[in-house]
Amino acid sequence: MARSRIVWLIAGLLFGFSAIALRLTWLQGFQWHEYAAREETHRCPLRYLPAPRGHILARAGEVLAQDLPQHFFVYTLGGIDDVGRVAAQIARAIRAWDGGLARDFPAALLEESLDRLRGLYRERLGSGVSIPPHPWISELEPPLAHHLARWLKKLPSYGRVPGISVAVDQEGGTIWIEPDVLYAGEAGTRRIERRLALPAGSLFGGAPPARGAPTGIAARLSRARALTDRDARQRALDMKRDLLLELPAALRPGAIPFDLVADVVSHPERYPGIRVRESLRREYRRTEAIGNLVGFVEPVARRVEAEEERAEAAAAQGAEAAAAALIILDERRGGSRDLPRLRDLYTFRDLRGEGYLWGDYIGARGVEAAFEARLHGIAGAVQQELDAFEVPVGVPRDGEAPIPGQDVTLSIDLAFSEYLHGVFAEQGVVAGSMLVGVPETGEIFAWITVPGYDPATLHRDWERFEAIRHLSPLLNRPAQAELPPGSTIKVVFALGALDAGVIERGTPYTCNGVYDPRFPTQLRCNNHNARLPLTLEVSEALARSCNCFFYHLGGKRLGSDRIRGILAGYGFGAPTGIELVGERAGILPAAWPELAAIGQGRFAATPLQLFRFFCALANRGAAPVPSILVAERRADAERLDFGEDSIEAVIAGMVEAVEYGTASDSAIGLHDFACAAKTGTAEWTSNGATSNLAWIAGFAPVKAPEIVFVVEVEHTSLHGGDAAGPIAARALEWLEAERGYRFDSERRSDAR
Amino acid sequence: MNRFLLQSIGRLPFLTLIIALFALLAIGCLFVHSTTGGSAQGFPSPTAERHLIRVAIGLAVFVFLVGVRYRTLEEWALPLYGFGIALLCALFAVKLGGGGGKPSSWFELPGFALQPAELMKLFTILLLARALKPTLRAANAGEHLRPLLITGIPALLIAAQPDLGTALAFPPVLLAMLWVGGASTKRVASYAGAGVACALLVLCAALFADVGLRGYQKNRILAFFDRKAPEYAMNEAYQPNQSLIAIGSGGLFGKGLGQGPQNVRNRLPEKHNDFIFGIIGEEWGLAGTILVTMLFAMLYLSCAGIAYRTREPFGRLVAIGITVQLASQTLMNLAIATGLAPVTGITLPFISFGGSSLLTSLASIGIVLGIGLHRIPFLAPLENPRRHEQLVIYPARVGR
Repeated sequence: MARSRIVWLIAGLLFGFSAIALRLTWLQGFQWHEYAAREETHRCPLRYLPAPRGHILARAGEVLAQDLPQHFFVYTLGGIDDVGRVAAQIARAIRAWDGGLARDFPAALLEESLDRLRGLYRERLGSGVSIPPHPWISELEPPLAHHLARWLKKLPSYGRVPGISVAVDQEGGTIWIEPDVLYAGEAGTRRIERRLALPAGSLFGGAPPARGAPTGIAARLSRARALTDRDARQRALDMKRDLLLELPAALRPGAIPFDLVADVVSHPERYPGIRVRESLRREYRRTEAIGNLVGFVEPVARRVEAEEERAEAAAAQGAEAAAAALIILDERRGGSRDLPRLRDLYTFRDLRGEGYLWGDYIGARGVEAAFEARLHGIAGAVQQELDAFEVPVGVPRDGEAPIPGQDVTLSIDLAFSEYLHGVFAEQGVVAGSMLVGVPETGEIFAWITVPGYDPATLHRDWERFEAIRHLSPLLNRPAQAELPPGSTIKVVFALGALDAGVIERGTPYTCNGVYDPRFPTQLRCNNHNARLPLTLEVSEALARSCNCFFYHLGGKRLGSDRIRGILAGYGFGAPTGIELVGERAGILPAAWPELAAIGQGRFAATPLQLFRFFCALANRGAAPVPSILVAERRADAERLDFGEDSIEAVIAGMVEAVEYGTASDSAIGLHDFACAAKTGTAEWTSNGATSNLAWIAGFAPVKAPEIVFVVEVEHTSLHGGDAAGPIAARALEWLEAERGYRFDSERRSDAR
Repeated sequence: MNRFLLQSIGRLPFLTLIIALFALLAIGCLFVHSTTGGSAQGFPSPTAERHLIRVAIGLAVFVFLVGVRYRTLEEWALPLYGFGIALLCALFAVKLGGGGGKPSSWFELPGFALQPAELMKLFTILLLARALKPTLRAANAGEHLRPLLITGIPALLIAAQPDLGTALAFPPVLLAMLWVGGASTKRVASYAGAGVACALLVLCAALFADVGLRGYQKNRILAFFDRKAPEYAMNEAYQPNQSLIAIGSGGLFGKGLGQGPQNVRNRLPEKHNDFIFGIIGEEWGLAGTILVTMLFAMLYLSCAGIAYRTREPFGRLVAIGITVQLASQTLMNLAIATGLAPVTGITLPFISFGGSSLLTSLASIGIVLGIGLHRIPFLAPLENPRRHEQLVIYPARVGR
C-alpha cells in the first residue's frame, strides 16, 4: 500500500512540474512578443521633446513672443547625500564585530553625529578651500578599531565608504572623516548658493536635526531615512528620484545665470547629485500696448479641465455635453477617455501631428489662439533606455526631432502702438480702443486696447485687474466690444439713403432743435447750437452731425427694415472675418429707426466693423477683410455697391466736419490735416452710470487715402471730437513725423 | 546480462540524482554570478565567490551525510529537533530582548546569517519519521496527535517570525508522511481539508475583518488577484510583474547569460535569490527554464524512487518527507516566479543564493542518497494480507 501511495505522490510531482512546464511554454513560447514589448517599453520609454512655438513678430521684426529655454536644477537625494548610507554601513560593521555590546549599535546615533558635524562645516563647504580631516570617533577599543580598519580595507569597490578612515595605535583607534568628501553633495549646493548670493544652507536646509526641524533637501533626506527596513525599496526609490531644486521665487528658472548652468553641466564633479534640466518657456515682450492682441498661452491641462467643467455644467442643465475638441495624445492622463496612447515610437510618429501632449501649451487668447495651428510645433520624442531607478543609460536609441512652430509676423507697428498707448494714457482714457490701418488692404498697423495687459506680467497683475473688473481688461475691444456707434453711423445711413435714392444731394431739411414736439427732451438736436432753425442738406448734416436730419431720415424715410438692410449690406451685424478668435457680430437695431439712425438704442457695432466700413469709403467701394498680418492686396476684397456721387457727397460731409463741423475745433487738431472724419457721441449706460462713449472715425488723406482710423473712448464726459479727436490728430502727427506720410491741408483743398 | 541490466536499472536513481543535483548546483553558480554583477571575464563575482564557498561546504556536509548510517540519524532525531526549537526560541528571545521588534528570522554570524527555520525543516522531518514509524497504519486520531504537535510547534514558531512562506512548507510534508506512513486516505484528506479551511478562514478574516495577516501579506495576496491595479503596480505587484516580464521576454532561447536587460538594469529585486528563476527565464529562455524544471523533476523523482525502493519505514518516511518538502518548495518558487501564486519569500533550492537554504537542501539530499545506499535489513510483514504469517528478510546490498 505504501508503495502505491509513493507512486501516487510521484504522479503528483510529475503533475506539478508539468503544470509549470506548460505555463513556461505559454509565457515564453506563445506570449513572448507581448512580454518582449512590455520589457522594451519599460526599459526604453518615450521621452517627449517639446517643440518650441513659433515667434510672434511685429511689422519691423520686433519679437513679441518667443519660446526660450529655461533651466531647472534637479537633484537626487542619494547623489547629494551619502551620510545616511555611510552611517548605516559603519553601524553594520560595528554590529558585526563580535564584541558583546555592539550587537544593537544603532545607525541613527552615527547619523546624528555626522549631521551635527556637517553644521560645523556648513560655512566652509564649497568655498574652494579644502577642509582638513577631522577626528570623528576617538578612543575606540583597539580590537574594534582593528576590526573596522580591516573591514574598510576589504570593502568591494562598489561598496566603498567615502571620506572615512581609521587610524589605530596602542591606546586605541580613531575614525577620521574628510568633510570635503563626506559632505561633497552639500558642498555642491553651497557652491550654487554662493553663486546666487543666497544665505548659507538655504538650499540644503539649515538646522541639524538636534536644533529644530530641517527644511529643504535635509527635510526630504530625513523623511527618506525615517522609512523602515520594510520600505527599503521605497527608500531606494526616494533616494534616486529626480527632485526639483527649489530656488527662491526671485530666482525663478529664467533668472539662473547661464554661466552657472554651464558650470554645473561641464563640471558635474563639483555638484554631486545635481543636474540641469531644460524646458521651454513662453517669453513675451514687456509691453501693454498690444497685449490684448498678442494674447497668451495656457497649459493644455487647464484647457481640458475647463472644457470638462463646461461639459459637466451643460450636462447638469440637461443640454448635450459638447465633446472636447482637443485631442490629447499623451498617456499620462489615463482612464477617463479612450485616448490614443503613444507607447512606442511608431505610434508616436503616426500620431504626433494630430494633437497635443499633456505638457503642451495652447494659445488661450489673441494671436496666440488665432494662429494656434501655425504657432504650435510638433513634439519630438526619443527612446531612451532607463535603469530601475529611471536614470537614463547611454545615448538615446532612436527618436524624432521636434518640429518648431512657424513664426507669425503681424502688421502691427510696435513703435506706433507704444506711442498711441502713451497718448491714451496722457488723455486720461480709462477704457477705449483704436485701430489704424491701410484702407487698400485692410491691414491694421495699430491695434490699441485700454485697459490692456502685459502678457509677460499677467500672472502678477490679477489684483490690479480685480480692481478694474468693470472695465473688462481682458476684452480685446476692437473685435469684441459691442458698442453703440453713435453719430459715426450717420455716414452709413447718409450713404445708404443717397444710394437708394431716398434723398438726393441737396435735399433740404430744416432742423428746429427738436424733432418731435411730443418728445421734446428725448429726440432733440443740440449738436449745432448756432442759428436755429437751420436748413441743411446731407453734407452739412454730416458735418454738423444734425440729429434731427437723421431722425427724420431714419424714422420717416428709411424705416426699420431698410435700416437693417443698409447695415447688413455694409457688413454690420456680422463678424468682419479678421483672423482673430472670438470676434463679435454686433447687434442690428430692430425698432426705433429714429434712434438707430443716430447710432443709439438697441444697436451695437464693433470698432472693427466701423474700420472696415471706413476702409470701403476710403477705397470708394472696395471693402477688404481687416487683417493683422502683413499681406499683399487681397483678392477677396468685397466691393460694396456705392454710387460715385453718393460717396463724394458723404466724404464732402466728413471733410466739412473737419473744416467747420464737429471735428473742427482747434483743440482737436485735426484741422491741420487733409483728412475726412466723422465724430460720434453715444450716451451710454454701463454699470448704472451714464457716461459718454466718444468716437471718431475717418481717413487721410482725402483724395487717395493711405490710412483709416477708428478711435473709441469709453466712460468720458466729453463729446466725440473732444475726447477721441485729439488722439486721432496725434496719430496723424506722429505718422507724418516718423513714417513719412503727408497729410497736409493743401492737399485737402486739392481733394475738393 | 540480465542481471547487469537489472543492476543498472537499480542504480538509475542514484545516477540521475547525482547528475541532476550537480547540474542544478552548476546552474545556480552561473546565475548567482550573472545576477550579482558578474562579467564574462571575471568569474566569479564577489557574491558568486561566497556562493561557491557555500556550495563547497554544502557538498562536504552532503558527502558526510551520505556516509552516515541513517540509523544514527534516527537516534539523533530528538536532540536535533530540540536544538532546532531552541534556536527558534533563541531568535524570539533576541528579538524581544533586543527591543527592536524588527522582524528577523536569522542570526547574524560572522561569515553568514544562520536561518534556523531552514534547519528546522530537516529536523522536523527526522523526528516526524521516527514518531510515525511505530504507528504505521494508525487508525485513530489519537495516534496522530504526536506528529501534529511535532510539525505544529516549529511551524507556528516560524509563522510568528513572521515567515509565512517557510511555515507553509510544513503541512504538505506532514500530510505526505502521514499518508505514506499508512494513515487512511480519508483521514489525511480530512486533515488536508481542515487545513485548507483554516487557511481560507485566515484569509477571509484578513481581507474582510483586517485581522490576522500583516498589511503587506494581505496586499501581496490582493496584488496576486489584481496585478495591474495601480495601487499595487509599484509595490506588491512590482516583483511578480517584473519576473513575468523577465521570463516572458526571454522567448525560446533567451538573451544570453549576463545579457538580460531586467538583470543588467536591476529591474527585478531579489534576482539572485527568490526570483533567480526569472533571470534564468530571461537569459536562457524556454530552453533553460524547461531544462531546469526537468532537472528538478529528475532530482525529486530519483528521491521518490529511493523512497520507493526503501522498505525500512524510517528511511522511507524520511526520504518521502524530504522529497515532498524540497519539491513543494521548488514548485512554490516556480509558481511565484511564473505568476501562478502570490509572493512569499521562498528560495529556489540548489540555485538561489542563500547559505542556510543551500546547506539544508544539500544535507537533505545527502540523507536521501544515504538512505538509498545503506539498505538496512528489515523484518517487515508482506503487504499481501493473505500471506501475513510469512516474514521476509531484505538483505543489505551496499556496494554490490
